[in-house]
Amino acid sequence: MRAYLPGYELVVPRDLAEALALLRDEPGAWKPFAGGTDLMVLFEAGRLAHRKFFSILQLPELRGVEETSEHVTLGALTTYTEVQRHATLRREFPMLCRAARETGGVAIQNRGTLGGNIANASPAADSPPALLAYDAQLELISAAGSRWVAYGDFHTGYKQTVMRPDELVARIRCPRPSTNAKQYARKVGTRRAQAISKICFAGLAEMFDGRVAEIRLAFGSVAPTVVRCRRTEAVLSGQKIDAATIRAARSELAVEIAPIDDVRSTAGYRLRVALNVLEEFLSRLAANE
Amino acid sequence: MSEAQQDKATTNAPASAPTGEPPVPKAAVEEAKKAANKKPEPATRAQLVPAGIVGAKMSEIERAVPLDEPPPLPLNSELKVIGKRVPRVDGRLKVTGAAKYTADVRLPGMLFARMVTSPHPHARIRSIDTSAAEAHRQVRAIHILDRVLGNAELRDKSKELPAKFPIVRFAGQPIAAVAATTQAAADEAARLVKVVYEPLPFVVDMDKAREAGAPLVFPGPADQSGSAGGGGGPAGVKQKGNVRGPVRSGPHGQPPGDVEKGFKEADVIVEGEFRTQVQTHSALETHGVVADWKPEGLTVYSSTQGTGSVRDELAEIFKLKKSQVRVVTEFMGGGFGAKFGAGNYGALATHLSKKAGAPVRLMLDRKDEHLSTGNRPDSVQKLRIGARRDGTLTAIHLQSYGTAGTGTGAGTAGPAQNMYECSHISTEESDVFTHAGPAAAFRAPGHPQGCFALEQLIDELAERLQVDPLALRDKIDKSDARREERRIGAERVNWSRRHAPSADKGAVKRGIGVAQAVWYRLINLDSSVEVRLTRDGSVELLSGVQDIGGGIRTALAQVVAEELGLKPTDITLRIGDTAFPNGPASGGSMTTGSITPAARNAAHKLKLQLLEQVAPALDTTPDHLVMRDGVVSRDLPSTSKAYKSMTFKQAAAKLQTEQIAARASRNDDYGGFVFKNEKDAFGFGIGTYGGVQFVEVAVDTETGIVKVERVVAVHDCGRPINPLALESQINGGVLQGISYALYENRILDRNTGKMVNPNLEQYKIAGSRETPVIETILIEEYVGRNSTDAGGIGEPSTIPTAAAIANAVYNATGVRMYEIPMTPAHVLAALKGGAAKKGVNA
Ligand SMILES: Cc1cc2nc3c(=O)[nH]c(=O)nc-3n(C[C@H](O)[C@H](O)[C@H](O)COP(=O)(O)OP(=O)(O)OC[C@H]3O[C@@H](n4cnc5c(N)ncnc54)[C@H](O)[C@@H]3O)c2cc1C
Repeated sequence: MRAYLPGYELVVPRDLAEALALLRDEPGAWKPFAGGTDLMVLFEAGRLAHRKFFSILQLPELRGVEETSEHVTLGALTTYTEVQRHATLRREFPMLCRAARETGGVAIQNRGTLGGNIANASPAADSPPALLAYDAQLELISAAGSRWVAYGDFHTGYKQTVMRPDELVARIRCPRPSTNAKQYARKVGTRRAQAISKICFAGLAEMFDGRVAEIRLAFGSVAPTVVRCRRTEAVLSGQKIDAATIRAARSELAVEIAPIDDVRSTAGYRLRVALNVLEEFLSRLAANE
Repeated sequence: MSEAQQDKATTNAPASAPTGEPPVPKAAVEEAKKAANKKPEPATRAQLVPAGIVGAKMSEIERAVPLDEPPPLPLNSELKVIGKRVPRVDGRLKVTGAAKYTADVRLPGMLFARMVTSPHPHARIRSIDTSAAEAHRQVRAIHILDRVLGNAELRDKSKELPAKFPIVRFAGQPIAAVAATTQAAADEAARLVKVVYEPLPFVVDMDKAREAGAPLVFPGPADQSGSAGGGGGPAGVKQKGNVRGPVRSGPHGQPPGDVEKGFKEADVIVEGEFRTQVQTHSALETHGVVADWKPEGLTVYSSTQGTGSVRDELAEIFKLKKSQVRVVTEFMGGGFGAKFGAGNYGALATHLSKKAGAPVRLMLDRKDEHLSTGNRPDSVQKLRIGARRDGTLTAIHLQSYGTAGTGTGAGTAGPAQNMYECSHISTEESDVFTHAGPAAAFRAPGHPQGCFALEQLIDELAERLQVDPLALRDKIDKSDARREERRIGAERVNWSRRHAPSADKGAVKRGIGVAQAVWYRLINLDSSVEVRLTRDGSVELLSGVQDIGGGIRTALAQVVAEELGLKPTDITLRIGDTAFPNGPASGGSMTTGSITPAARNAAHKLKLQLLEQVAPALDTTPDHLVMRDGVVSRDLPSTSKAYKSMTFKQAAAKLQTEQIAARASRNDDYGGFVFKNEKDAFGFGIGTYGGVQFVEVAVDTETGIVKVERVVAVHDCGRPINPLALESQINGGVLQGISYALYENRILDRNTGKMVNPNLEQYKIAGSRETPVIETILIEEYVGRNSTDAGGIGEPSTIPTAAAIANAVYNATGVRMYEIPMTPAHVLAALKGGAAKKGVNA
């Protein structure tokens, strides 16, 4: 049943400084409320335990997409719709755009934010595999200042991150992939929209001279957090892609990930499909597609 | 004179006579009384009516038409309004949000209510403490249920466990409700009601419930009352443990055939065990009411598909006269069979309104909706079919089990009994009680399940016999409509390109499948309409019938407009209110076939009254006048010297009184019924409806995802009144069928007895991106059994979809799917030759 609305508090800070001051003065008491598309689901189900929130949706400091020759930097409040409409992202970051397109439905895409998707830390979230494959970095800010962390180091356990209670995700920075890089993303859900993933994959690779020069593989929904599969990457690194390497990569991946049974799928299904999707990506690389 | 007698009197009047009360001598009254007791056939005239399928085989047959009914309509091609694609007369109101649904009703001083429901699947309630809730500042009334509607009830009440409150038999069972000044306060106060439970052993899994020693749902034989739209299997069936049945039957409701003999005569036998899941109705609008109790009577705004059935049930519960209960359903957002009764929520809201002296609104949330308002039972069906080498069927043997939770009506035998010619048919259907919410009628009860098994096995038989599945059906299916539908569909889908199973190379494999439906010509004779004409030329139609979403408002407008030579938008429609003449409940795809003849007959009577009054001004008698295109004229070419006319408005202005009205009820079908149930005025018409669907799928063999790419749905429903609305119904039926085949699944946790996915986040329904290209084709089949010859489509359109998808998946992959939903994990496991884990929405 829906939670009792008068039992909740929501304040709207005037600016970023005021928001960060809230976090500093009462650590752990206040939590940010961005698009609310994760939080309102909990509220509606009567499972939103935290009671005090502050809105960040109105803060311009957390908005916007900036480009340099090296990077594209996205504000934490960037919505899925904004991602899909951005020319550079569409050209160079197709996996992120695809994740945005396949997240929820149009209403969720208009309202949901990348920062919320990351901070919510669901192992089934759809943008994180792409961000992992792009080797993204996150800027975390607090009243005390700002720091950058590699996104690959951000998630430490189920719903656990390196973010402190007084911090916010401010920006997401992705190095622009080389034009030679091959990108392949695949979301497997129950439906084509409005469905949390059974599994989600993002892979980026560069081939040089018929061999794997660089490869990054990331999965959602196969472990307690979204994961980069570095051991499988190591198996492939420097190799030619043929039946034997594909077999080796499959065996490595099978032990590197640890999917579970839940309401959306089974461990067995997830494992089998993860291996099939990896094979599909590698076959495409081999065929230079 | 009672209304019924008045109808009788007018029924016997000659067609051209003005209606109203003729002067009746005393002797005639005596005569009429005698006649009424004898129930004579109404006076009739013989008339030729069109019969057959347009484009295939047409002829004329003679029917006995009651004297006061209008002459038979010609084919649709010769009509102005009927059979044309008419946009819904209320479409604009709906898309602009102006249409008022139950949830939009706001009455002065209205309170909001919330139910208290059980978290336990089986429990005895020790105590209920409402003091904390009562102390809540905003609470105005609390009511505890002393009788739970919907669950089956013990035949021998003395067998019930001793208890002060009703025994809880499923998680989500309503116990009480609280009314407060705001919804948030009602929600909060409901949590303050302290219920102490003594949990009892439970079983929610059908297979487990069948085992000896399983926890019993009822401590003795139980029946579910079918009165207000429970699933309601037959009463008095023998019961052992949780298993109720089997009910044995044969073709078309006759005694079972000798299948042993049939299998001996067979050259080929195919068999399989098929499983289907529980599907919840999940109408867009949840169940709910606004109940307004006043000393003089009760008014209830209800999201219902039966204004009359809700009135009757509330009158009974609250010991009111039916005339003291008014039920209003101006607009509703779907019911699919789950919204016939008053419901526990309706009874609770009424009790609360009575106690608080204020109107009370009680709308269910999605969780309550999934748990306690009905569902389509699951099934496990063992089906065996025997055939001669030439395809002739010698035996069909079905053994099916299904759970309707705490209800009954999980049978699946309709298709096996009624689709194909077969010398020996025997079906054995058993209900299995489980500690889960009671089922309710759901869009063609039993048929999507039954078809899923039957139509796959017929395909398998075709493969064994090495004949085309369509050719086999041509041989064993006697329905002319389906024969034509197969021909048209096969051409449209280009059936001849269909390849051998699993012929595609790559990871994505495509296939085509077919399956067909059978449904019945059900008629509710309690279908009445009044049509009024006022001197300014305005026309009104009044009936208690509600528009469940199928578009009956528009169909009624068309029928009246056709008869009066007007446009549908000229008719003002007042429906969905028991203050008007009794309308039929919308179920069994009966609405159009039941109420449109009454509407046409009433409009015809009205027309005769009008013509009688204006004939002198046109220098003729009524029988020489016609009404078309808004003009009343002599039935002559307009070039003729004697031609005379006036507009409809001018004619209305000549009325001797401000308003005239005519009323008609549904008469028996011309030629009668297969059987008629006098008690609830229900007629089972002669013949059946068909429907054939062709499906193209793509199966991704890496992920197991099935994508339905195209559906060609060819259907019949008698004379189509509004092809536009019919197409919408077919689209909806197909989508619900796809959703049933691939996504929807009510999952109960065996360890807690609770539903794991009581929402629309994890209870998945096909969405817009799963919508394939749907091509609908309607054939016109005339049977000449009533004054509109129209039928229904809601149910037939969803019956064959899941079976057709399964046949297409087989054609794509060479692997047969014995279970729905065909989730990616199930499909992937089946492709690998294994079975997926049960009970997960994988
Ligand atoms: C119908 C529906 C469908 C959905 N489908 C998908 C899907 O397909 N794939 C998918 O991945 N997700 C899906 N979601 C989940 C959700 O939409 C996304 O996770 C979204 O990105 C969350 O963003 P938000 O701004 O709405 O977060 P909010 O709900 O506002 O916040 C989520 C969490 O993040 C915290 N937070 C938000 N912003 C910050 C910040 N800048 N710094 C620190 N903490 C922050 C909040 O305190 C909260 O704990 C769906 C949700 C719904 C309701």
